[in-house]
Formats: sequence, C-alpha cells, structure tokens
Amino acid sequence: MTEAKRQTVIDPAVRDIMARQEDKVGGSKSDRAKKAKERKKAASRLPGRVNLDLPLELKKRVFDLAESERIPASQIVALLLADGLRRLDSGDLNIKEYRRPSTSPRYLYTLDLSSLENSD
Amino acid sequence: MTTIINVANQKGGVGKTTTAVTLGHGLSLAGRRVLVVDLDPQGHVAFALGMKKTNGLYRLLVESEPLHKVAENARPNLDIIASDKTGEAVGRYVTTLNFRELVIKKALKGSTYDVIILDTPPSLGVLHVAALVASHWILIPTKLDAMAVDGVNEILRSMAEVEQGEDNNHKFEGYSILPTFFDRTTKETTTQLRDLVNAFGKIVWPPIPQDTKAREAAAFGKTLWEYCPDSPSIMGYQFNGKRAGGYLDLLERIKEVIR
Repeated sequence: MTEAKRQTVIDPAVRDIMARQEDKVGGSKSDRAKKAKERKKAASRLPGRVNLDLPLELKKRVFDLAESERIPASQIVALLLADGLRRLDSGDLNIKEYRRPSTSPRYLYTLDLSSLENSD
Repeated sequence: MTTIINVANQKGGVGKTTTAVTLGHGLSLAGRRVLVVDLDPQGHVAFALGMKKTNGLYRLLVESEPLHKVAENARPNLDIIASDKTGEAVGRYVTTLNFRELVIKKALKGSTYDVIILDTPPSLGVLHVAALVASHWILIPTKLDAMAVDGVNEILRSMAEVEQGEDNNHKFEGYSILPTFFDRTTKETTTQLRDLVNAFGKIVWPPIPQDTKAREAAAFGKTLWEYCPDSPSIMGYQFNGKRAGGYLDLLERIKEVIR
C-alpha cells in the first residue's frame, strides 16, 4: 500500500514567507519574555532621560573621559553636574559671570562659556 | 490571441494601479505587446507613467472610436487607454445600453496586443461588471487588513454572478489573490495572511512587500522597473538562496498565464 500524501493547498513560496514571518513576529515563549523584560527595563530609564544641546568640544571631552575611565558617559555627566550644582550652592560658581543678554524671545540670557573653554 | 487580465478589488488603495502599471511595463520589457486600460476616472495610470490624463476611455466606449486610434504609446511595447474625469460620464452612458456588460469585451475585440490589463475603479458599477465579463484572468490585489480582505470576498461574489449570468456565458480561466503592502513585522498582517491562505489556499500568491520607493516612483512618473528595480517591491524576499514575492515573482507567474 502506498503512503497517503497530503495534498498541497498552499503556494510553496507563500508557505516559506509565512513560516519566516511567524518566526519573526512570534518567537518562542522565552524570547517573548526576554523582550518584555528588555522593554520594561528601557521604560524604567525613560523618566531620567534628557536630550540637551552641548558644545561639541564639551561633548567630545565627556565621551573621551567616559571611554578612558571605562565609565558610562551618563554617569560622568551626572558627576560633573552634581559637582557643578554643589559649587553653585556654595557660591564657588556664579552664573551671573557668564550671563549675556539673549536675542531669543524665549530666554532672557544665554551663557558665554568661551572663558571656560579657553582655560585649558 | 490576446489575454485580458483584470486587476480588481472594490476596495480602494490596495495597489491596483501600481500593480497594473508595473505588470504592464514588466511584460512589455519582456517583449510582449501590452495595453493597459484605465477604467478609473481618477486617471492614475497615465499619471503613474508620467503622461497627461486624457479622455481615451470616453472616446473608446462612448464615441466608439477604434482602439488603435485611442491608444497612446507610453513606453516601447506598452500602450495605454487613459482616463480622466470624463470617465464618470462613461459609466452613466454605459448604464443606458442594452448589452452593457459586453461593452468592454466588444471594444477590445480583435486587438493585436498579447496582453490587455484592465485597471478597474474601486466600485461595483457597471464598468466593473463589464470589465469582469471581458476578462480571462482576475488578479485581486489586497492589503492585509480586514476591510480589504472583505473586498476580496466581494469581488469573488461578483465573479460568481458573472459566471452564472444568463446573458454572458462567461468562464474565467482563473484568478489569483495578491497580498500587497506586505509588512512582515505586524501581527495583523500575519493573521490576515493566514486567514487568506486558509480560505483560498494556492490561489493566494506570494506578497508584494511594503515599499516606500513604490510610492515615490508614481510621483516621478516612473514605473518601478525604471525608478527602483532593485527595491523590495520588485525583488521580494530572499532566504535560503531562494526568492519569493515582489513584482518579479508576479511577472513570472503571469507569463505562465498568458497564452
């Protein structure tokens, strides 16, 4: 007796595409759990995330420092900010020394940091 | 002998015109003599080929001018019957005729083209039925969302009515469902494709990938073969050394259909 063979009811090319697609969309249960965990971790970081415009040279120095010290750039920035704020609170740092009138209707002042940049 | 392929789906925005134009140009590049007939008053066939919309369809069906006088050359081996807002009047005129279902079949009779591709409007009007009656093969593009897939059911019902109609005595040689705007990353796409395949089996052909380049091409009046021949919408998917889907795959399958 010959073995019964199921008839093909799907275009082979469509079957291949569907198989690959379901791999991509679904994944295994552990894959899905892993992705959910990653999403939760990323979401927990969001409230502390900021997007700031920095002078390019300053940005480069922060990243160079992070690289050489093998410390996350975010933590280098946090350290320098905390130190700066401490100096501000103690009066060692005076914002007024750097203040210049702003041409933007949104702000009264901008800071001229060129004296700091040239102090190296 | 001419093979007439009808690109149809009552749902709009499923890629009918892009499919008609891409297929038409692809076949013409492969050496076939092709005519694309724009039955949609929006006139987007001419637009997609970088040509002006004209009243070609009106002249053919209302003024009964011969096909060879109305056809405009778009590319080597590729002619079109263009349409414009006068296409609305064509529908109203055809409604008044006694044998309205046969009007397109008669107008295309005796053509010397290898292939005629009908780009139908997204409606269930008399021209839609007349286009079905004139066709040998129905190609049904569909997006993979519930409303578009419902459009597939509607066109299949219309086809059944045409085949059962006493006046027409028409038998289709076949039909295919072509998933378009295929986005592999969404769950809804997977679900709809699986439902389509479960319902229609091998009638469902490999999909056309979602591709921004395809939208840009029409804006430049270029076909996909001219604007982005290496894009996913043309080349489809590649895995395990095989290719599947995209307009290149469709072209090869349609060549098998053409007599």
